[in-house]
Amino acid sequence: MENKLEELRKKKGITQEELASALEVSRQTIGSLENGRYNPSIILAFKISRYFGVPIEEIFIYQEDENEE
Amino acid sequence: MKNNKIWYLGYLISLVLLIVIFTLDLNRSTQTAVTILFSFVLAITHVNIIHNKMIAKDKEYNILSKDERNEMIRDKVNAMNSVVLISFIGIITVVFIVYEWYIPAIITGSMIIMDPIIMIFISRFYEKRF
Repeated sequence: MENKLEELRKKKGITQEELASALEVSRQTIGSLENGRYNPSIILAFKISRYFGVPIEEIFIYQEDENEE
Repeated sequence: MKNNKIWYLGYLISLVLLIVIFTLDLNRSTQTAVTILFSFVLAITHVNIIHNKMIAKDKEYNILSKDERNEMIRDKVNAMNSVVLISFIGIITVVFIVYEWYIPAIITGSMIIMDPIIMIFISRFYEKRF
């Protein structure tokens, strides 16, 4: 799933470690989220949304065709 | 903390096993079995107590343990590990049969037969839970 996590993080001026610490996940999870290798759970998605103050749909882009494959 | 206190019972069991090893006049096989059991109980107890203490005190360790991606990786590793181990047991069973060691073959063969049955029971448990 594509996302704007890296963009939002850089806009906020924080490192992956700082974001990971704020969300209480590992830095590797943030890295995997940013490069699209891992999709977050609904709880983590809400935490991210709340942290950045941006709706989930504006952070994570769900594409029907991509996920049906 | 409640879970941690239960684990301290493992130290007590280990102590009892140690006393049994040194005080009772056991035959060699029984002594070996009790020694292995002692080592197993002590190791499991100690690791779990240390783990629980670190979860409570070390924030970074806590995050790494509970991280959802790490949990997903652990689940996948355990599933694949289970398949690999059962495959190895299958190969060992065949080797036992070739060498006509039928009792060990029956033991290891039973493990392979029990594997899907155990999986069904565990699956039913988690289906009710989630």
